Amino acid sequence: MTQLNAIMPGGGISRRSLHIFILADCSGSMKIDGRIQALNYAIASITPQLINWEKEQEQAQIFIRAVAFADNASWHIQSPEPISTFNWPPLSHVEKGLTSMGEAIRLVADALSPEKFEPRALRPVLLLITDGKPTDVDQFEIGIKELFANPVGKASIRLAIAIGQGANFSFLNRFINDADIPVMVAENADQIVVKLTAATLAISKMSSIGSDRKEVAEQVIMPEANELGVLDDDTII
Amino acid sequence: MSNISGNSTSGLLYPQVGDEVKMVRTNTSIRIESKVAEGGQGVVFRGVDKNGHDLAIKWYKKNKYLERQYRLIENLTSHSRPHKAFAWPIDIVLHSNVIGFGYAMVWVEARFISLVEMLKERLQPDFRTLISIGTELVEAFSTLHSRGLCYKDINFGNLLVDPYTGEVAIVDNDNVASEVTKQGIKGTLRFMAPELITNSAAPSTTTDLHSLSVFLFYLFMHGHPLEGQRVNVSYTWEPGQNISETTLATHFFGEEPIFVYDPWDVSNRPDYDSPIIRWWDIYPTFFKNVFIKAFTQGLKNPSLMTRVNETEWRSALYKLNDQLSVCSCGAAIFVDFEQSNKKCWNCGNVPVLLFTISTPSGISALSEGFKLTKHHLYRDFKYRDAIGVTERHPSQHDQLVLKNTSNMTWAIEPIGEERKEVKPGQRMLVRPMNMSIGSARIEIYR
Ligand SMILES: Nc1ncnc2c1ncn2[C@@H]1O[C@H](COP(=O)(O)OP(=O)(O)OP(=O)(O)O)[C@@H](O)[C@H]1O
Ligand SMILES: [Mg+2]
Ligand SMILES: [Zn+2]
Repeated sequence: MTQLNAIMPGGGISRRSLHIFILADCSGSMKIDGRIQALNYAIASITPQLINWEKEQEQAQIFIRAVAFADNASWHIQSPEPISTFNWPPLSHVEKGLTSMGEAIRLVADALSPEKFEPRALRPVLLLITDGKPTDVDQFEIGIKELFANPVGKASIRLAIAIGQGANFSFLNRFINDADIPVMVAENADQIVVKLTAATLAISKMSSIGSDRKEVAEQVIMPEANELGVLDDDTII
Repeated sequence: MSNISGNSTSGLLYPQVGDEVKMVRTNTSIRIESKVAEGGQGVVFRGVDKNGHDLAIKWYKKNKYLERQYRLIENLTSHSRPHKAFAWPIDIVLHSNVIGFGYAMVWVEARFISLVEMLKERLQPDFRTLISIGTELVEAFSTLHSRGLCYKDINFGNLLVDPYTGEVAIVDNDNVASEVTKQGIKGTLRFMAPELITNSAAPSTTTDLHSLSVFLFYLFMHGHPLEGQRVNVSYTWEPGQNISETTLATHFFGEEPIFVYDPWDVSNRPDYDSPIIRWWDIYPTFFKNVFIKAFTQGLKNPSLMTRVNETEWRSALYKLNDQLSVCSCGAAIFVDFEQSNKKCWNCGNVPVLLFTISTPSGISALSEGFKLTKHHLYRDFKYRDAIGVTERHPSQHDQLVLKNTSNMTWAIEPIGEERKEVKPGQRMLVRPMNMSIGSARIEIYR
């Protein structure tokens, strides 16, 4: 028996799951300008970025779930999909569809309830993408209450991308519920991919333990701004 | 340097694919071919120079420290690269109508992957390759540190490995600075020395040594040295129990770190299903003791003496390579000269030792790939100067031969045979014998 083909122990390392929930608006207005196609394209194009990030660090193993909302909200991807084999099934808008954002938040809040959510997972990420405002305001109020009453929901990282002029910031800011993290704005369909790329970088930076959300937000979400705190002496990057 | 701040005429933050950037010192241009990655500090592109050679370009994101970064990089480009593993900044690059700057460096080929990617594969490289990766890293950091520079940001995105050749590539060298500059980044939390996390020290060679030990622990043991049961029970969503990740990390990696195999404190042993348990058992006692030093005294009283330095790592890895053997079941094993009845991790039997070679620098297991070096004969730390290589017998595959790769003739006296000579280039069958190479006496026995 020789060394070169000697039996080695099998590989593998322990990692913690990072669950990313995409909450995607499929209301009638998402048809304008090909927004929904732009969104499908953007999600497909951030996948390699997430796969790369998964390879560059030892902690997080990424899983994706998605909720689509229009006249009502339903799971687009219900069981967590590992990023390494992830394939985004394209969404389409619902003709004259409403914006059941509240119901979508409730679905996610339920999946985050401590009985259902893995104990050793990292803080989950909720990424809301919309071009409007909730048409189910009462559901939105309940959803927000449920989300923040829940320790997982409260600890989650929440980001929002507003598409075009129609999105309402006050609802999105209540969803984010963190004054340091601004809503990301995609002025038009072309910008969706740019913003989603920045959001993905923000997700990876914010999920690395020891990072300061405010700092990441300044560094990644608002790179257009002039005064950036990237390299303070005590910054952990 | 005036063109790095101010307003861009194009309004763009980065060069675009197809653009040209110019190296400031040589005034040669590089064409941007593709975008490779976007990191926290900048965007990395692949470029091609006029001779068709690939180069990597890192272009900085706009930020208020740009001028300082410019001076730091300018300074680094004036040093030659400390070791071939570093993708060292070659020159600053500028663009005619994009503000800001970048730098050019050696292009790291795709055969270099993240260690995480390697460790999670079911099929692992053999131990000689793992040891080679460790050795390259240790040698690279040793040359960097001996120049008074420290790296600061050891992590899996920055130290890349070739799982086939055992070579390493170190990117993101822009944080490298001389020990005295108390500027720039502190690192990646899970690799950071406790005194950095608790803000009681600045990055230095001493703090790099901790990060290097964490990386090596991952390489050999497949897990984090401080992440055991005590840390894992704290990851919970119980209402009222959920403490922020950063608070937990500061506590378990900074304020009160405990090694998973601390001999005096068992409270943080690896979880029952942790891969660490199996790997830790495989290695010989002396090697585990090096990690114990790194993560007990090295944690509590950080200094260049209490931490494991590169010279210690270098000799530990060399010795480890010398204790590699094969069990009759076919598994790669290490001979533990301090624990004679150690069982094979694969078949559970106590392996029958093949051959042992005793040299002026100690005893080693004589198995395929074993190299007899100058260090074995003279204890002169010339680890890479091989004078003999062990190979499989060309026709009888269960036998080994030792090839004389030196320019000296060896005198051998196999047990029960008469004296013979092994001339340079000749091979001898490995069997119990006494040998003389120059003034060194060597014995091979079962
Ligand atoms: N010389 C190179 N050759 C090939 N690829 C490279 C090179 N340098 C960097 N890269 C790629 O680009 C990625 C980001 O580079 P780098 O770590 O320097 O950027 P960064 O802005 O410091 O990122 P972060 O803040 O995430 O560490 C690396 O992980 C690697 O995949
Ligand atoms: Mg990096
Ligand atoms: Zn065995």
